[in-house]
Amino acid sequence: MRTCFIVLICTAGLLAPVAATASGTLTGASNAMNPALSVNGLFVAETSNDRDDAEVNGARLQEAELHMTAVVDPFWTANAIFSVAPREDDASSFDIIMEEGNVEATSLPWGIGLKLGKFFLPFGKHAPLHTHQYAFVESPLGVASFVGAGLTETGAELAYALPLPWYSDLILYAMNADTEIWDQDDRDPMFGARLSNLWDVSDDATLELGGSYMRGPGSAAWHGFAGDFRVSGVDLTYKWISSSSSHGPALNLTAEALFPDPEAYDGSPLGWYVMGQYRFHHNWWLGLTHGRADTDETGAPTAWNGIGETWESKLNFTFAPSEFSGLRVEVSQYDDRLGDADDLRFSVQWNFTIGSHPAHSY
Amino acid sequence: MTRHALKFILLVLATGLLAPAAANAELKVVATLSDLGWIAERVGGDDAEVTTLCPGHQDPHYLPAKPSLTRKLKKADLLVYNGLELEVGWLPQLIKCARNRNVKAGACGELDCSHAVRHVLDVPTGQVDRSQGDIHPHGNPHYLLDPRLGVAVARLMADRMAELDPDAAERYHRRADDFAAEIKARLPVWAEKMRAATSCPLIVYHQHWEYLLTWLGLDNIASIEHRPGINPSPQHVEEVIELGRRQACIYILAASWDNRKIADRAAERMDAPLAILPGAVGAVEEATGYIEMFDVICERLSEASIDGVRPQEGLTR
Repeated sequence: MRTCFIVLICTAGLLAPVAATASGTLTGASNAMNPALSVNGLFVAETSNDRDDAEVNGARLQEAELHMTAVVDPFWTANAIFSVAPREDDASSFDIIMEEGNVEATSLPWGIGLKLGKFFLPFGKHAPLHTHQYAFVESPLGVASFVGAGLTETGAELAYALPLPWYSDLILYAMNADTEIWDQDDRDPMFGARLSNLWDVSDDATLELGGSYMRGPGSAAWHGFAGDFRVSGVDLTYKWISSSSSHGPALNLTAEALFPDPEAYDGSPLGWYVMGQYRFHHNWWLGLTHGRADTDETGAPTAWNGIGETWESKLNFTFAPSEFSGLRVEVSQYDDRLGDADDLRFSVQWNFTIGSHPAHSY
Repeated sequence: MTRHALKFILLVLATGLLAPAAANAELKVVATLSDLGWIAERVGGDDAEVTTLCPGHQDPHYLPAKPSLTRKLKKADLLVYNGLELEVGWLPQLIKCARNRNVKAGACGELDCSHAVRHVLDVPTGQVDRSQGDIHPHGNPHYLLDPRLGVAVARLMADRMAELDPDAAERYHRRADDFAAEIKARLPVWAEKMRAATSCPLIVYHQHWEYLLTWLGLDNIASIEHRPGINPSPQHVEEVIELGRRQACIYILAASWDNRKIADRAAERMDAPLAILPGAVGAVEEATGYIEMFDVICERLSEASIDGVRPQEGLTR
């Protein structure tokens, strides 16, 4: 009995400093306020019948993302997302960029939202997505050709839900024009707006109609013209998710069109895609898409680095055994730039998420 | 034309900004789950206007975070939610999009109802990771399936409603007391109904029922879903079937949103009855309220346990 008591006292003595250290009072080091942390890894293995370069033949890391999110204080939450991706000119080296770094106000009155920092522009349905959220291996041509595949800028965004009988959210933003589609030497900012409206068609289905517009100093290197670059877009999404069984059937149908309008260009370029995803079994999705990018060359044949008129069709199957991993097999057919030979690609893509990753938006 | 359009936009914006001031004095309560919504209506009575986000027939783990739901949250004075990370897949997104400072984390208008639960069940010990499936790291969140905990939640809600709306404080507390008395009077009825069922072990599809089984003293011997949120492997289902076959009495419990194909097949192979229970108010037609839900649960459990007795020599089923 006495031995037990001595052991207890000694044990308490040994453990006490640990408890004090864990609280951080003495050391100032505590993990209690650490941000939620997650890592997403996205890999792809591809082969092409038209191109024999390493970019589309072989396996590679498509992108890895480190995501941190936390409450800053009673007034702000913050996000930081770092992206690691292989360099285009040297797949053995990697670029690390800060994809997003922003704070969002949590205490403004009247339901006003304010975001400050660097973030994806809310232009259309596809452009704001992170790579691991794509329904297909690559971004649609109709979007990537005209506004790039990673439209992140630094600035401010205001949001307000309009008091209408349906969900209607208006977002206005003013940002630095830093990405490749803008003239980076011109210090004029870019501006944009998005209005998205959503209706509950039934308990299980929604219909969303969105309109987007942005304007800024155009990049001659990107689309061939100096002067203002304006682009508008419209998107329509129908979603149906069976509510009667967990992981039951689900259907997403999206159509999006972009109307780029460089100031010095007489043509009428157009980019569009339609895509559908259907969950036909607990963990299995079928995806199908077709899209086009057309610069309407009547104005200038060199526009958009010689995209000309090009189209793509893709079919894929995705197996997602949980919300944190997925394996995708995809066949894609591209009509190559300016009418070159067709490109048939076969891709296998896999991704995983570890840590505490915030849920994606609807 | 442009001037008219501008006037219209300004009018719409002004209407929205002034709307909160013009609203009536009822406490606007949003409940994440139908059970919580039902309890909030009982406690709030005429002093509260209650709306629910997740309908009873939907698995609360996987509610799609539809932006239209943020319209309900946008004007809420009080958000009552289950907690223990049951709604982690959709509620944070809705709160973020609603941009309502009344219900943000730490505000007086957010109420984590799991604070009413003194002894959370199934709190993992040791290493927790996702090899264990979609595990809840803080314990089993389905505590509303014990009616005594429903009473504790009602009292917690009454306290918070009284804090937000002091003029009606006495009424909130009185209604919570009435609800507690109603549950107390009903407990012996449910116990009587379950008397025959307590000797028969059972198998669950998902670990949804731990609080219910603990309250009723029922013996769960296996789970068809080996790891929460992950479809069970055929090998595991086969092992569970073999285990079930060896029992003298056995029945299976599943929620209406569980994978019926697997549950039906297992029940058929085991030659055991399958009881589809309401996992929430409104999950099945007869579960019109929180009290009625337990009426249905006890009725179906009792029937299944009687049907689950296997014929033996000298006995008939």
